[in-house]
Order: sequence, then structure tokens, then C-alpha cells
Amino acid sequence: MERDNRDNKKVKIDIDRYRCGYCGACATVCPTEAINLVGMWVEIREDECVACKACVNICPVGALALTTQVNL
Amino acid sequence: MEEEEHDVVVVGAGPAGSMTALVAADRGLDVLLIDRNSEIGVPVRCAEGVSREIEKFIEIDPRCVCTEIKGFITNGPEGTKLVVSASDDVAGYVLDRRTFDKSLAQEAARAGAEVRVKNRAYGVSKSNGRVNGVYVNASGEEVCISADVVVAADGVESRVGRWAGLDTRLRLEDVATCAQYLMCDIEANSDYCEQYFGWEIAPGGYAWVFPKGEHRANVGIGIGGNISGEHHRAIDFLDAFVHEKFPNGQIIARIFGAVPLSGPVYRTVTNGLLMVGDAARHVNPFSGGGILEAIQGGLIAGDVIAKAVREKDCTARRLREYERRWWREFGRVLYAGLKAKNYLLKLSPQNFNRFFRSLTGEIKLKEYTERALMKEMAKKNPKMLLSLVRTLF
Ligand SMILES: Cc1cc2nc3c(=O)[nH]c(=O)nc-3n(C[C@H](O)[C@H](O)[C@H](O)COP(=O)(O)OP(=O)(O)OC[C@H]3O[C@@H](n4cnc5c(N)ncnc54)[C@H](O)[C@@H]3O)c2cc1C
Repeated sequence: MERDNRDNKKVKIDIDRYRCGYCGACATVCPTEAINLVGMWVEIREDECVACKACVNICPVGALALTTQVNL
Repeated sequence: MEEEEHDVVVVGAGPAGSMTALVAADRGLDVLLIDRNSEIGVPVRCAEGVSREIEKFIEIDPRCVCTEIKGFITNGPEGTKLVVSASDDVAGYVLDRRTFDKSLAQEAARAGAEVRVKNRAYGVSKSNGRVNGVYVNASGEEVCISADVVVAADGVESRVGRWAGLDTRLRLEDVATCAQYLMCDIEANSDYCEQYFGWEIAPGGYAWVFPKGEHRANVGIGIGGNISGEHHRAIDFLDAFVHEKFPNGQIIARIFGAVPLSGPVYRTVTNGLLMVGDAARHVNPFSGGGILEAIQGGLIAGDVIAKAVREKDCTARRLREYERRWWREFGRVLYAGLKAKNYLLKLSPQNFNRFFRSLTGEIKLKEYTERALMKEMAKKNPKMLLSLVRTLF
């Protein structure tokens, strides 16, 4: 199973909103619907994210990045 | 929460949704067509090319056409060219999707459908195991809209069908991720749509130059979703392509998007719901084109829904007529396209180049269709022919 927010690791998807083209490629491949395209806005629900990085890879412009913080 | 009722609610006012709404409303049903965006047809996520085959199904208003095209040129990795054109001179069109999508929604409205923009569906409601409506955020207000049939026409993201239990997941290798510039001041062939293949140009996909008239063109690239990643972005490949071909052109629009290349979803209906267009993955995996299939699927869906609502039977069993008909009309062609794409992607780089070496010369087709084009390519490549023989012929 992938790492996710049920462990003590906190996963965060960072989006560069200046780079983003609001095309929805990320939402298309997200397996858990953690990413939503709402008009010209991308909404990310981190508690749903399973850190699979599909969105980070598919992005045609490289606007997404995944960071993991370990909670102490 | 506010509640309202309609015979049919269509989620998504792209070509597939508007076409379905148009037919159902024309047959006397009470139809609501919604879209999350504030303007139908915007933002454009398309290269806008379509073969003339579309005129078998709808009349194309000249105002929706940017330019007529004589045919298609396939450029191989080693500079080979295959020119395919129609014997009656017009093989297809490069549309203006902003106008085209709006005019289809307008036709649906004229037929009696109610259209609402900036209305986003965020869930489906169910009772006794059947879908009976959608939850909508209407510019900030939450509304529950019940309907005998929900149409999932929500495009490539295809969430509505998934909420109803249909499997619309896509693997990365089944998605092309794309970048496109609308360019002006460029010297492109104004009569032909051109495609460029090559692992260096566009790994797992191709680049395109589709003329839009007045020295403008849609210049874009799609690459395999499984290849895309850091330093391998669609936009990087596009910038390299543009730098090489049109160093002096100007970019007047930039668009991005994903195309589903999985081939059609197996199950496209459930009790009280059906999927059309990109949502059902009705896109030719070989070309990435889905406008034609969105129109064809919408026509069939609207007809089946009209009958089902009148018979007061909107079960999966009744709606399955839609599935049988799309399969017969274009499902097999999409399946052949999937086989052709898989054949190409499995070739070693040398064999990939060899494949395109066979694609040279000029072909005139009596009728320009995707099926006919694939057939011609297969005829030049006996091995590919073998893999397609049962589906295409
Ligand atoms: C870069 C690119 C180039 C392409 N080039 C071509 C081409 O040259 N020729 C061709 O034939 N095809 C092309 N395609 C494919 C073509 O654009 C699609 O197949 C076609 O638009 C599918 O129509 P549709 O109605 O199914 O979906 P769409 O046109 O995507 O419409 C879906 C609509 O649903 C709305 N929606 C989504 N979710 C919700 C929600 N929750 N609530 C309310 N509304 C919602 C969206 O806002 C959108 O308006 C291309 C695609 C891309 C990405």
C-alpha cells in the first residue's frame, strides 16, 4: 500500500498556481478524487491523497510537486 | 437544500452533452443541461480538427469553421510524407470550438432544453440501487436535481459515471498529456492538417499543426502519460518543436489537456444513468479525435433516453440499447484504433521508423473517414494489417 495520510507522515501536494494551466489532467488520473478542477481553480484535498504521484507526473507543465513531512 | 425535478439532467455541455440534450428535448422531454464553466466552449481543450464524416450527423454552420482542409499529411521520423486527401476536395474542417460548442448548446436550448452555466455537479443521488439525480453547486447554492435519467457528459475527468459505480479509471499509459499553442505569423500548410511522429519529437504520441486560416495554426503535442514526468513534460517537447519549426511565430493562446486513449469503457450504462463522449472514453486511440464520436454517441443516447422515459423504464437493461448501438456504429472502429496504437507503441525504435518509411506517397480516398485512413495505413504494413484484420474489415 502506498504511504498516505493515515500514517504519521503528512503528504502535501504543492501547486504552482502561476504555472498551472487548469486543464484537469491531474484530476483525470487521480485515483482517489483528491484533486478537483472547479472552473479555473484546482482544489486539493490532502486527506484523500495516497501519494501515488500520478498527478505530478502527468502534468503537462510541471505545476505539481509532492512533499512529505514526518510528524513527530 | 433546494430540490427540483426534470426528466433528464445532462452534466457537461460539450458536444456529447449538448447533442444528447438536443435530441431528448426535441423528442419532448424536460431536459436540463448544466456546465461547471461560466462560458460554454471555453476554455478550448482541442486541436479542433474533424473529418467531413461529421456532416452525416449534423449540419455544420459555416461560422463554426475556421478553415476547410483538403486532407491529412503524416510525417514520419525520417522525413517521409504520406498525403491522404479526399477525392471531392474537402476532407474535413478545423473548427472554432468556442463557437461550435456554443451553437450546439444553443440548438439544444432552441429544442426546449434549459441550459445553466456555472453549475457544477458534485455527486449523484441514489435510491434502491438506482441513480435518481445529481447534487449541483449552482454558483454557490446547493441544489438536488432529480431526474429519470442522468447523462454523464463530463468529459475526460469522468467523475459522474464513477460516482454511479461505473469504472472510468485510466492508467497513465492510457492518457495522452498535451500542450498546444495557437500561433500566428507562421508559414504552415494552410490546406492540410499535419501530424509529426518520432520518439524524439513526441514520445508515445505525436505533434500536430492544424491550420486555422489567416496564417494561424494550432501547434501542439501529445505524449504518453506514462512517459511524462520531470524534464519530460508535454510543454518541453512542444517548445522544442516550435523552436525548430516556427522560430518566428507568435503564441496567442496556450492550452493544455488530457486525452483518454484507453478505448471505450466496457460498461457505459447503469440504472438511471448513461455516459457519453470522453466520459465513456469514446475517442479514437490512434488519432486522439473524439468530436465525431461525441456527436454520434449523443445522437444515439438522446434517442434511447426518449424511448426509455416514455416507456417509464430507465433501468440499465433498457438503456443497454445505447450500448449495443454505439458499439455497432463506432465502437469497433475505436477498438481497431486501440489495436493500431498498441501495435505502434510496441515496435522497437528501428521498426517504428521502418513502419513510417512505408508511409509515403499520395492517396485519394473516395470518402475521408478515420476508418478508411487506418485501412490505408494497414494496407501498407502487412503486419499491422494482420493485427487489425478482424476489427476493421
Ligand atoms: C489537446 C487536445 C487536442 C484535441 N484535438 C482533437 C481534434 O483535433 N479532433 C477531435 O475530434 N478531438 C480532439 N480532442 C478530443 C476532443 O476535444 C474531445 O474528445 C471532445 O471535446 C469530447 O467532447 P465531450 O462533450 O465528451 O467532452 P468535453 O468537450 O470535454 O465537455 C465536457 C464538459 O463537461 C463539463 N463538466 C465536467 N465536469 C463537470 C461537472 N462536475 N459538473 C458540470 N459540468 C462539468 C466541462 O466543463 C466541459 O464543458 C482533443 C483533445 C485535447 C485535450
